[in-house]
Amino acid sequence: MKNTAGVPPLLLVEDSQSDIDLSLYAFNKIHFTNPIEICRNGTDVMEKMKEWEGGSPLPLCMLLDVKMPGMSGLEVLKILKEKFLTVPVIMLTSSRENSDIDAAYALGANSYIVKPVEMDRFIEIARQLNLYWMVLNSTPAG
Amino acid sequence: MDWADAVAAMEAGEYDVIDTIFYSESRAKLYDFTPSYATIEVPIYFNNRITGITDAASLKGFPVAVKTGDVVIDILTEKGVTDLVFFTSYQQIVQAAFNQEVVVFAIDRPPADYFLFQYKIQGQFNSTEPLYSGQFHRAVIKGNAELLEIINAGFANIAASDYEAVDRKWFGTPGVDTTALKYSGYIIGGVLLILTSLSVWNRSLQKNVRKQTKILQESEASFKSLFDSSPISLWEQDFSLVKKRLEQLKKEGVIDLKKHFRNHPDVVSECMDLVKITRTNQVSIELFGAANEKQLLTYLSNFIPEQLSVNFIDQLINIANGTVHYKTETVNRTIDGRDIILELSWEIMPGHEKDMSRAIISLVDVTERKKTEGLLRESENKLRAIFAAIRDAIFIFDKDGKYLEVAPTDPANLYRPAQDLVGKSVKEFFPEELANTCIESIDRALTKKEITLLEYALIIDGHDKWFQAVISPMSDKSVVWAARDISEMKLKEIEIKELNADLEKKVESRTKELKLKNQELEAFTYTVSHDLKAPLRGISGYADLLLQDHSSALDDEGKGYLQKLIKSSQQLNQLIEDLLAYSRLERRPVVREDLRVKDLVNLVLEQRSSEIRDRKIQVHTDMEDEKINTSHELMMEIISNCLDNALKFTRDNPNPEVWIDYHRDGAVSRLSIKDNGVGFDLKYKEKIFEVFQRLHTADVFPGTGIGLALVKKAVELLGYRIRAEGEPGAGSVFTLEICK
Repeated sequence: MKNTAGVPPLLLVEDSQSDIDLSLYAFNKIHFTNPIEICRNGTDVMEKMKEWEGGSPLPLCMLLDVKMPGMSGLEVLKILKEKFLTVPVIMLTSSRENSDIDAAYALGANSYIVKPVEMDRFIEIARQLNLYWMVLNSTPAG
Repeated sequence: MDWADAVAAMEAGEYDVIDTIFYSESRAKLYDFTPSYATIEVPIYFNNRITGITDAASLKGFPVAVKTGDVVIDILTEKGVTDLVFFTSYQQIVQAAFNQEVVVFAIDRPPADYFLFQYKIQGQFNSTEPLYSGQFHRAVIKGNAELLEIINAGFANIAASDYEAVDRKWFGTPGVDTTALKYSGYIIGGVLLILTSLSVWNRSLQKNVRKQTKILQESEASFKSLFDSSPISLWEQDFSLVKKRLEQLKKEGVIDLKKHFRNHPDVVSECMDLVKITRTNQVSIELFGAANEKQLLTYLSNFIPEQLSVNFIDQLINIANGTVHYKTETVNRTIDGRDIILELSWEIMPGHEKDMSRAIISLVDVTERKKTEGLLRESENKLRAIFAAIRDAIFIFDKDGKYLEVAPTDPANLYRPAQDLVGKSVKEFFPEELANTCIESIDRALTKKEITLLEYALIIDGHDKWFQAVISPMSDKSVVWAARDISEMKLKEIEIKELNADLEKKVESRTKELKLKNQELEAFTYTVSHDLKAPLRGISGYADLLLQDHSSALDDEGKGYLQKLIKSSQQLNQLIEDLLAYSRLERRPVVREDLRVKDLVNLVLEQRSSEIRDRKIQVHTDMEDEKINTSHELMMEIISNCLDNALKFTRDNPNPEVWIDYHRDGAVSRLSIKDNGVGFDLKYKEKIFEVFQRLHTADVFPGTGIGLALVKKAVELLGYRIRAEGEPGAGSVFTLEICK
């Protein structure tokens, strides 16, 4: 995992190793250049937030899995948005469970993605994400 | 004084002497006469316009006025003069002459001259030679010889000068009319004689008689006045003839009069005729609607109503029994045909008890009173019936809660007998708190002047009893209090409340259970959606990775296996998605809004546009713009699944076509989606809507078998209907019926 100093990273919060693998593969496929940081659970994110408070650069974007052991994605989202409202958060979910989606939007999530089963679609999503959030969307911080 | 009255008075003993009387045979039987003391001439007087009257024979053609009982009548009759007009006194005759009603009369000369002088018509009448000259006597009742002697002696004592003095006093200055003067002495002499004889001989007796007579006269006059002016219908009747007849009947052996009368109505009528009405008064005439007494009496003698004759029998029996005070009620009919109810009472006058010859009968019209009484009774009966029908206890309270009256409803409505309540306060019967509440309610009804309700409980015979009182203000100080026993209702109410509470508890616990089940289900679906899919993504993803990056390490067979692996995991993923969608329909509430079906269909068509374009499917649409109130989510589920079905099953048709129609037909709107695909056997038309039911193997037509089950579920949730029609090889039609 390369870490390019000064370039804001993309933060992936995901407990499933296979999903991490597939995500990294997909971003790699589209030649994503920003560094990708990974948290495996909510506690890791809390640690990360302390670093940000200490001056570390904020991520350009955060991909947050809804279903995680321990703190759920929604709980993490709630705490995050209280402190770092400007960080765009894209929720990752396994299905179109409306209750999850509604709750996420209510807590300040910026978007959501249903994790695809087909690799082709995985790659396609990564491409669009890159395009939209990393290139087109300018955050107040950026 | 009239002659007849004088004769009658002599007979009655009121007077003892008649002065100036002619002797006749008939009179000699009644009276004793003094020797004659004067000769009196009786000439014919005639109006001096008439000529040719000289004697009785020349009188023919002229009615002659005479005084009843005069001797001259006999003389005139003897001489063939029969056209006589009778008067009761000389004065009346002369008065009639004065009024020119009489032109010829024959009377004694002295009174004639006197009265002609009085009426100042002495110049208008001439007189003939006397028809007759009579010796004048004084007469006493026969047998009274002593008195006769006294009279003779008395008159002998009167001096001629005395006569003259009297004459002057009566006729004024002598010489005006010598003839009148000449005869007046006789009259005055008579008057003086009476006065003298009475004062001398019979003063005390005469006084007494006169006094009694006066009293009797006054009493009679006052009775008559009372009788006539009485405001009550009064009758004086004579029952003596009836009484005699009834006694006769008894003598004939009739014991049971009542029975006899009943069997002999003719006897009743006969007796009715025997009742003599002596007199009646004005009120009686008015009572029967008669114009005068004569009409009334005629009417009564002819008319006997049935009821009166029945009633009359009772009266007859009382006459027979000599009942002095009698009272009855009888129905009579007036002349103008009204039936009147009369209260009849009779009173036999004292002294007439034996022969019942004088009865005073009073009739009081009680028709109106009877009618009022009848109405009152009717109204009372009605009230009694109403009260008897009322299940409430009804009281009248004063403002302090005192029982003023207790309505006569069924005594079972009352917790105490009415007589125990009246005059007492509720405080004496109710617990203090309740009594105060009652009084407050009465006060509220009185203050607000409106009906006030109060529910209260009493313990009666050890049982809880509930009452509802309707309190209605009656006056400023009293209210009507209608209390109804609502215990039964209350008990039911309590029972219902208990049942409800029980039910609520049950519902609560069931709801809890259900919630728990739901939560479990939620957790399950969550697990399915996340935990089942995560490894699936791993399988599929890594397989893809292998195929993409490590395909050189695999031979074709290996690559083929990997592709099948990917396909299988995709199918599994679809299955999970569909199952989730199905369960989601159940769990989510139906949100409705006004939508155009046409818009929804077009949206679905747009989503499928690439497939439609690629496969060159002809889609024919014919849809109305109508808006309906429906759920976007559910309608999309229905339309997209049906359309997907159509697209899928036309796969093998080289010219695939789809027809979409939406039209309103009365209360029903129909959306039909038709295709020219493989169709299906009609016997499966129900089965195709069941979950996991597939008519084709997944290898031929891919699918999870959930699509139409989703449609069916959505249709049910919306309250619509859907039916499938088809024929193998000839396509199928799905028709959705939307009822408003």
